[in-house]
Amino acid sequence: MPGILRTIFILLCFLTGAAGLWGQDAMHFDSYGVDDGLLQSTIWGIAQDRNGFLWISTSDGMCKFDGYDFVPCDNVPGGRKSISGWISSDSKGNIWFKHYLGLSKYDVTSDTIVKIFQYQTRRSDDVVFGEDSKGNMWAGLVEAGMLKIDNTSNKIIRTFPFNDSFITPSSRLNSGFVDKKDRIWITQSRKGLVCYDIPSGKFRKYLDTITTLSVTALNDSVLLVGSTNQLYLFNTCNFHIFFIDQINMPTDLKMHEAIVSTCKDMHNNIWLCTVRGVYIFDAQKLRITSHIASFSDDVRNYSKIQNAFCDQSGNMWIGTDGDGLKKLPNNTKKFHNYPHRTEGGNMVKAIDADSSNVYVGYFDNGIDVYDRSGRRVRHIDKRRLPGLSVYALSDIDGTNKLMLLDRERLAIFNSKTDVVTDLQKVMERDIPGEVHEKENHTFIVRSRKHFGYVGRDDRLIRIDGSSAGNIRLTEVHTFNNELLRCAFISSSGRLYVGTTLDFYYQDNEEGSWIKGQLPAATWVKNIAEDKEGNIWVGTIEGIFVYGPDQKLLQYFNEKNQLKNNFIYEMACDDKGRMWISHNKGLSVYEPRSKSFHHYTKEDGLPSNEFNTGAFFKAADGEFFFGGINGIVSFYPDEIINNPVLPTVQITKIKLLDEPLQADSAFWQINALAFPYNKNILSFEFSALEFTNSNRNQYAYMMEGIDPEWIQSGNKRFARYSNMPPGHYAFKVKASNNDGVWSPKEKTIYITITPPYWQQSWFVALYLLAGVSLVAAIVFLFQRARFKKKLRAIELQQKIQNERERISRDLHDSVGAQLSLISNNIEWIAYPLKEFTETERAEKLKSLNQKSREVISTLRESIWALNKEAITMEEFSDKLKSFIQKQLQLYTHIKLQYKEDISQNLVLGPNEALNLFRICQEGISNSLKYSDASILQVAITTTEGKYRVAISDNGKGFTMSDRNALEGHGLDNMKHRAGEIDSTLEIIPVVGTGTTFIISKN
Amino acid sequence: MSYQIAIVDDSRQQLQSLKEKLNYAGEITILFTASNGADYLDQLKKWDRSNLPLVVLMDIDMPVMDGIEAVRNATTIYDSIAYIMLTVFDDDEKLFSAIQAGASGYLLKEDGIGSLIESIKEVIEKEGAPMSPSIARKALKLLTTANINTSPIEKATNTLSEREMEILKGLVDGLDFRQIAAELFISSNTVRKHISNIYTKLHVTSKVQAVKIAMKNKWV
Repeated sequence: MPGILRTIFILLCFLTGAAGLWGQDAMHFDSYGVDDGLLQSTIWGIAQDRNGFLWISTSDGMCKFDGYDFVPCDNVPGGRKSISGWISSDSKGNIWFKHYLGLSKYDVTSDTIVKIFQYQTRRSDDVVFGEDSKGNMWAGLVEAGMLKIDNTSNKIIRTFPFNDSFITPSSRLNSGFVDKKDRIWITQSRKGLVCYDIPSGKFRKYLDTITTLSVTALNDSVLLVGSTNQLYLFNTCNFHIFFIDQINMPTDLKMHEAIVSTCKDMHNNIWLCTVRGVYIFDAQKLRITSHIASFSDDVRNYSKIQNAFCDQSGNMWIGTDGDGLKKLPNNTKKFHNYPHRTEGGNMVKAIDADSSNVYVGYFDNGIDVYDRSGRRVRHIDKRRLPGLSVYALSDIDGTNKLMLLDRERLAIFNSKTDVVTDLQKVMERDIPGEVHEKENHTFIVRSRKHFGYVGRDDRLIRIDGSSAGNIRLTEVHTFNNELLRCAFISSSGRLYVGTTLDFYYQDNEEGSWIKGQLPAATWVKNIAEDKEGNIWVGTIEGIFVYGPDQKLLQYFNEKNQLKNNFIYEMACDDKGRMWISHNKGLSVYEPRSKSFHHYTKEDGLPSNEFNTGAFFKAADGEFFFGGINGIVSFYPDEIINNPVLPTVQITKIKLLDEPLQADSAFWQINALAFPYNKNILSFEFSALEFTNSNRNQYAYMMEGIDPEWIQSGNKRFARYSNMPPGHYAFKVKASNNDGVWSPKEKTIYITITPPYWQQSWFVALYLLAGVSLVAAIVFLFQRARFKKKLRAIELQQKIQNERERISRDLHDSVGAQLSLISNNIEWIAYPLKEFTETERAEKLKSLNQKSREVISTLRESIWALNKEAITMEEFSDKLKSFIQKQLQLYTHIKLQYKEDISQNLVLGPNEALNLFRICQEGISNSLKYSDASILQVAITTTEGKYRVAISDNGKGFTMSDRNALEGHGLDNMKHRAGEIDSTLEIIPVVGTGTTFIISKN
Repeated sequence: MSYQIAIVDDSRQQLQSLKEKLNYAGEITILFTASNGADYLDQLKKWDRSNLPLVVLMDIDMPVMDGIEAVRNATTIYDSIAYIMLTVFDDDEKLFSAIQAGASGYLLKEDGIGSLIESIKEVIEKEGAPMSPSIARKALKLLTTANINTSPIEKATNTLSEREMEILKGLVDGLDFRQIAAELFISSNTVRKHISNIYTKLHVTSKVQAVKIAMKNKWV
């Protein structure tokens, strides 16, 4: 929060001695102390960097001021508390300061503190002299010598001790500076003025007899040298010295304590900081014109001043010893407050001025007469007046003035003799009737032709006469019970009268009175005319502006640009600006910009509340306004708004309401980027214009969120929460205390990066993933379909293969059998030899059997063909049926069938058929050739494989037997076994039996 | 004595061939022939109850009404007629369905006349033709499955006795009934009787299932 301002009125102490000029302006000082955040109340130095921050070095460390807060500087070498003294700025806006560990420089561009020269001392009298024409910095450190420092590289070019320099280690350096001719002027505790000429490198000494405390340049060739009690001018060209003025120092003071430091203000006056306050030496008048003895309420206690500093706006900062920091704002508005009496009241009710005097009439306090320079000449006691309060003063002939007092008393006041002549009798003679209203009238309006007009109840009275001694009163008009409040004669000669309800005007003395027709009946306080001929009607509810044709042009009130509705006096200056007094100060309307400026006590007015009738415009253009605390006078041209355009800086940035950790200072940041979840930002900013920081105005906007500038008044804080991802620019601009806006904005570019799932690359990736997912699905789908088709084709192929195999089987088995039958029939039908009947019968029987077998074979093939898959059970049953049928022919053979197919396998038709054929062959062989009595068949399934074992207890055979007889049969069996991926084992044991084993691989 | 039979086959050639064969043998009298199941049922109505054929040789694959359906329908009305299915290919599934429907055996069409007559006699006298291992296996499976839904009465009538189970197992093992008899120390006639009982039970299960279906569908 901005520092609490305490304005203190300082009483001026007057300088004894010749040619004292009586200052007529009250000085407002703002005071900053420890309660406002200042680190300590003893100020060692004040400086301002290029950015606009004020650097203040105190006994408890260095701090920076932004107009509102004092921020301690923690990154000073040696720690915060190591400040021991001198601090100044250079031409580039850097800050040089000396501390316990040596000399350092704050580089404003990089916002870093550079150690220039390290040496340790407890002495506080080292001085940084300043820059020479080549831009080098010079400093004098008594214990170390003279330092020459390159301001760009921050390197010490040379040091040399003060050997030949008339300065000894026991000397104290008081002050010094580099002049325009590259000469360093140094004052020290011994007598004399030392000069070091940089180009030649030589030391010289002047003024051996004078104890020099301070030296400063008055102009390019003349120095102002301060001694203990005297001020001298020293001409550096001819080395002549003149005594110029005296300052009052106690003689018991130590020499060096008298003048501690000097500073030049905006007007080139030199401020001398002494143990007894500040002396201001006027550079034009060549003498001391002011002395600020004390900043405290206790006038008798002198303030010990350590230093003074003039900031970039022209405000003067005073560092005291033990009383904190003071600021004299550079007041560009020359309001002259007339010193008023402390006894009695200061309620001004009437003002009149001529070329030599100003006459101020008070409520219950007589009349004060001032001369035009503001000095009070005399006072006319109220008891000499025919009334207690003076309500109006109006000049008649340059000497005599008409005076309106309370109780409707009219009188003549002779300004030369101070004689007051009561006109009560004239009033009674010319205007009969009692005064009814209690409210006193307050106006006498001057007119060209007559002495003036005055109001009495609802009657307008004209004052005529041949001279001040011969007054005649005439009633001009009665306004029908509307009490008269004011009157005005316009440039066209039209007479206006304002009442408690409306206003009226009369174009000439014979004309009729025309009603002004205010939109609402209200109390008219004042009527004035601007340069365009518009009539301004000031009421207690604002101002109505009428154009020449009586059209209402404007209505100003508190809702429309006015600070206060209660209007007292209005007057237009020569430049067309309308000045208005009211209950909250003075306002001026600028017709070119069509805007108002408002002035208050802070701008130098004696009070904010003014009074009816207390106004006068002198012939030379000086305005006088009277209020409850005396009068203020000014020339309108001398009321200038602060022209300094503030440079706004951002002083704090907070992320998620915590100070942002940044590498560079907040005011140097141009761009920031944050992730999406760190999106609460707040900014603090300052205009760094110290004339009246509380009246600085700010406007900011976040481009991307705010559609237009947000007028923030004097609040210097902006907060944005939950900023969505995107690019923004935070802009801020400021105006100074008089509402002059600087066009320079400060911009920080902010980027809130979206969360990765919102970032374009992620979205792209996501979309890509989605697309590829869809593509993958489609692809898989297609592939599945394709595979299905492939499988269908494969299946077709398989079926085809099966069919082929089966047809082959048919061909092999059935075909073979049929051809055999056919051969046999042929053999019988076309015998090659004679058969017996028995032979024929046998053959035919055999043929019959064989043809039956064909049907069986066919049936078996079809059995396989008809099914997609054949279980082992089904196969086993088929085998049993076959065996049973065969055994009908071999009735002596017994069958032992074992079946262990708990794990029911499934065979394809081709496999089943081939296996069947193998078993058939094996069984047939056993039945036909083995002479066995038992046929054993065992079928087992384990682990997805089958095993068929066919054995007989016959005679067995050897391979050679077989080869001779039935080689083909066995070969066929082996071939079939290979076809179905099985192994065929033939184990013939001669004499015991034969075993065939078919097992799946 | 002559056995009265009927033959149902949609092939005229087959009918002709069978007729010739059986007439020649002398022991068989063919009452009538039909060309399909519906035709058979129609013709059957014309015959007096006391003069029905004892055995009917029924072809399986016929148009309009196939053999199995004909058997099923006929046995509900005429329970004195036994049926022998005639088939070219021994399709076990169909044959088992036929047995369940009420058939008592089957013959391959190309079997010799001897075995034909033999089979007819067996069916008439012994009330059941030999079961092939495959049929036996199916019968075993069907009659031993414990149905949760069967009532005690059904259980008593449908399920196999121990002896019957042994016989069926023997048939499944590929033994002929003589071998079975030898193994079980019973006469082959007893075996035959048991087999005929099994046939009856198969017929019953078929009937029971039909009733069940009817009840489920609320036809009854």
